[in-house]
Amino acid sequence: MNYTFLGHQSWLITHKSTNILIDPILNESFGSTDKQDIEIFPPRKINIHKIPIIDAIFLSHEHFDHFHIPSLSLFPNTPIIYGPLMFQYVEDLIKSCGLLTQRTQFFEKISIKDLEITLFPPDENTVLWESRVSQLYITTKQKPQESVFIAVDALISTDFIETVNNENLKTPDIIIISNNSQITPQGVLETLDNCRDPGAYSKRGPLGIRLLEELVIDYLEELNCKIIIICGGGFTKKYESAFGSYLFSDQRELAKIASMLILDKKIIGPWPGETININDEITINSVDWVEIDHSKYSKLVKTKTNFHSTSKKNVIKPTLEFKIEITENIWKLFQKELIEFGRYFISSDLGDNAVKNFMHVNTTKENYIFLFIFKNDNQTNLYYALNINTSYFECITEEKAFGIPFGVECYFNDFIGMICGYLQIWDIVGVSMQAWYIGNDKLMSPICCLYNWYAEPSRPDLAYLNLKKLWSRFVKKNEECLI
Amino acid sequence: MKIMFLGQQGWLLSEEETHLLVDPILSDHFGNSNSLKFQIYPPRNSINQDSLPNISAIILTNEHLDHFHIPSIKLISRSVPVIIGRYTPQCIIDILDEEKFKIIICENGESIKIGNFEIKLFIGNMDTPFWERRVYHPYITNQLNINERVLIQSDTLVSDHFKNLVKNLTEKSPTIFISTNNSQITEKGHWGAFNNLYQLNSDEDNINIFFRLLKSVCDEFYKELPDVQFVFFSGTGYIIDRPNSLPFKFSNTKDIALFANELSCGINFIGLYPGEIADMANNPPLISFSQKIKTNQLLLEKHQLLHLESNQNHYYPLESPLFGHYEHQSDIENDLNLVKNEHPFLAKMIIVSKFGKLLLSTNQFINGPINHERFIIKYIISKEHAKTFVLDLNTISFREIESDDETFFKFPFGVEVFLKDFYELLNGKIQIWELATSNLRQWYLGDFLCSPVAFLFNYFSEQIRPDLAKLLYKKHVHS
Repeated sequence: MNYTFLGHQSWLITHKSTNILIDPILNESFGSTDKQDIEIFPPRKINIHKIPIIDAIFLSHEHFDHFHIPSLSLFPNTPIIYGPLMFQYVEDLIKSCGLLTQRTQFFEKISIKDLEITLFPPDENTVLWESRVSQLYITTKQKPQESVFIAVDALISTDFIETVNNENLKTPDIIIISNNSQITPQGVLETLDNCRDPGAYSKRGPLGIRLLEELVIDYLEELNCKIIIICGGGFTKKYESAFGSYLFSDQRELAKIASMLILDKKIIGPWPGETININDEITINSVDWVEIDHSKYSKLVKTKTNFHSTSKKNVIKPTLEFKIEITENIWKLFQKELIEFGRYFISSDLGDNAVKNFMHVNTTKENYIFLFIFKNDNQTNLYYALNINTSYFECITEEKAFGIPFGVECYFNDFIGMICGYLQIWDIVGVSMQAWYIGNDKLMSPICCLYNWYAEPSRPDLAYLNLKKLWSRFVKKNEECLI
Repeated sequence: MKIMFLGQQGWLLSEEETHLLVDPILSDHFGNSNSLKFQIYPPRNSINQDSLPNISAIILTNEHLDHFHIPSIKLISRSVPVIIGRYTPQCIIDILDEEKFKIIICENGESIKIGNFEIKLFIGNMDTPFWERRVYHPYITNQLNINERVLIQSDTLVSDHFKNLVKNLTEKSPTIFISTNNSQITEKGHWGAFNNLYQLNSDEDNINIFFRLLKSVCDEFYKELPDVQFVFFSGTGYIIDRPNSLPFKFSNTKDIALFANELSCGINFIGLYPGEIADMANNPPLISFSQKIKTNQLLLEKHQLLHLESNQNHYYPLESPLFGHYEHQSDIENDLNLVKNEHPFLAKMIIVSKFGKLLLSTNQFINGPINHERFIIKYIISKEHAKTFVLDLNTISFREIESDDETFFKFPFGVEVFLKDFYELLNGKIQIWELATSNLRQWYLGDFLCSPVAFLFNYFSEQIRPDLAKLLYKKHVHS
């Protein structure tokens, strides 16, 4: 098999005359707003006219760094295949663009000419927002059999591991894993960092070692593949502080170092355009239809190297470029969303843990556990605090807003935009939102609650609204489906 | 002090002229609707104000209907303060306010002096299910006899915080412990809230069940509360008022005390029937009977006979709705609409819950891999007519499907309930706990804490749906 990396988590897998694409993003950038300003890293241009004929496209899940309508639309005669838990709106959207779809079950072998592909569900402890990932097991049909397991953004399927352990499948030769760490430099907060923790700004320490340990050792504990390919984290976002690319996100560099430290495995971090082949020995070639933008890359590297910030304060900037008029209906929607989010938060694991702690340590007179700070463009703020004895949000004054242990700060216009489908939570986080919380565990960030409640897992309707608008130019009028 | 058991989890603690009521249910039954009564068991007569001494204070440990009984509290004079913990849901405070009660809201461990008693409410152990999150375990000490210190467990476990206070000598260990038996083990053929239609005849969960129950009610405290000498029992003290009902297995406090005493040393386990009083001034405590509050011995014996005669393998299916049958099609439409309006929020809350996690990770069933439809709710309208809705995991919404008899085998998770009853649940006429223990069926795979009913207990709890609690309380207002 030949594994051609196309950037971030996109792959072209070729064997004999068979070509399959995995999660193709072929543009230089993506995103769920018209700005399309999340850029693939390392930056590259793909000459789409030179892509070979594709026999099938596999879509692992619904996130917009995997599911890209403009790229899929380049292949109107190729079936787009996904698992049983792919959201209906994704299927509807793809169909409405006149493309071919095929839904399949887990554990069933799909035959695409010389290759066999089986989809597996992720480990049940995968976070909710990655729980719709289908992990792919691909093998060549004829001997000598070669196999690869693509883990994507989720914990490795226990079903898959069991199948391998029961010797119903042999351990895959290669495993493709993703490094989604998105580690920002000093002075810039990461998506799930605690904005009230000074330590979050003074990033120091062997973060790369921790990362490698989690990625290459812990994550792969139960699956002993000899060849590991690292991809993922292959994009840059337009932060207020322009710092270039994320730390430890150049998978090529990372893999090089990892290879020198972990000697019993081969670790490869390809660049876009590189093709990996493991027949007798591992060879890496390049295809001529993917061109790295070296000058842009150098600029980003230079920016990263020169970036220096001692800032102890994070600055967030709004994402949505236009202002939404707050009609009566939209205000009602906002109130309804607050009621529902409040009830969700109190009953969620995170919220319940927060309440448990709060009941012991709270010394204030108020019963507020969570605060929304909604920023307006005129420098005023709206404060909504969640009362744990009523599970309702109350609009409060700035004075009362101190000392509330959990909270999220973002732009009111962005939040309204999200609940109206103009953009998704993924666009807002990092750049336009920050949160504070108790404890060191990033998964205690209330932003995780926003992922669970506002991202695709609970709100496929919002994702659909957003993407339908965004990609309206790809929709074939007479084929539009409605959910 | 004198300790009188009132039934279920109600107590009257007295020291000379100071009398404290804890979680009092004074009528002979509780329940929000006339269609479903939970009789106090062992059965006793209703208690009116004349049967009680002058009450000095009422303590409420939590918001659940078998502890917070509005009709009972309303019998007591409004000059009597009601003591509750700070994190008791606001809807309870609101109704007490509306009924003009004097409320004392306590911080965790704050000392309140009422007559001859000092009272402290401690928020319970955090290692309990979500629906028990707001339970307090009161600590009551007798100021006239410092060796009489009572800890009432209520529906929680002793908190680590309290155990630490005892360990570092900030608090004296209680000498009297009122242990909670919430086992509610149903006889075979009788439905329990967490029962599973897939496991009707299974004995799996019943292995060593009485032994485990005994251990859990006697074992919880002894190491960390070293001064405990006397243990009383609370809980599992009701029976559904229906012709075929049987009391819960191993619920007789006297039996539990007997076994516990046989197998213990240094601790005296005392099982009281409603109306019995333990006079702690003596050692061993003297047990006497209240003149005005009496266990109905005849009824008790009748149930014991029923128990011996019953066909223990008979399974009681859902027979009829609690709230009557439908007369008009328009009523069916009306009720269905309210239910359908609830579905969108219900679907979202399911997907983010432990139950939802289980749904997502159950990818195989009887015939192999399954698709995105794994959970149904069947709303029964009549013997011939039902409306079934399936949760579509790929749209996070409920969709109506054909009702047939195969749902049991097609979908690994399901709930069966009468449309009328579920409507009244949404209408604030009955609480989920009442419905789940009496007139709802479920089937599921895996642990009961991730079951549909466990989810519904959270979803419809007073913490999450104070709006429904308020509707429920409405009928008690100014009545």
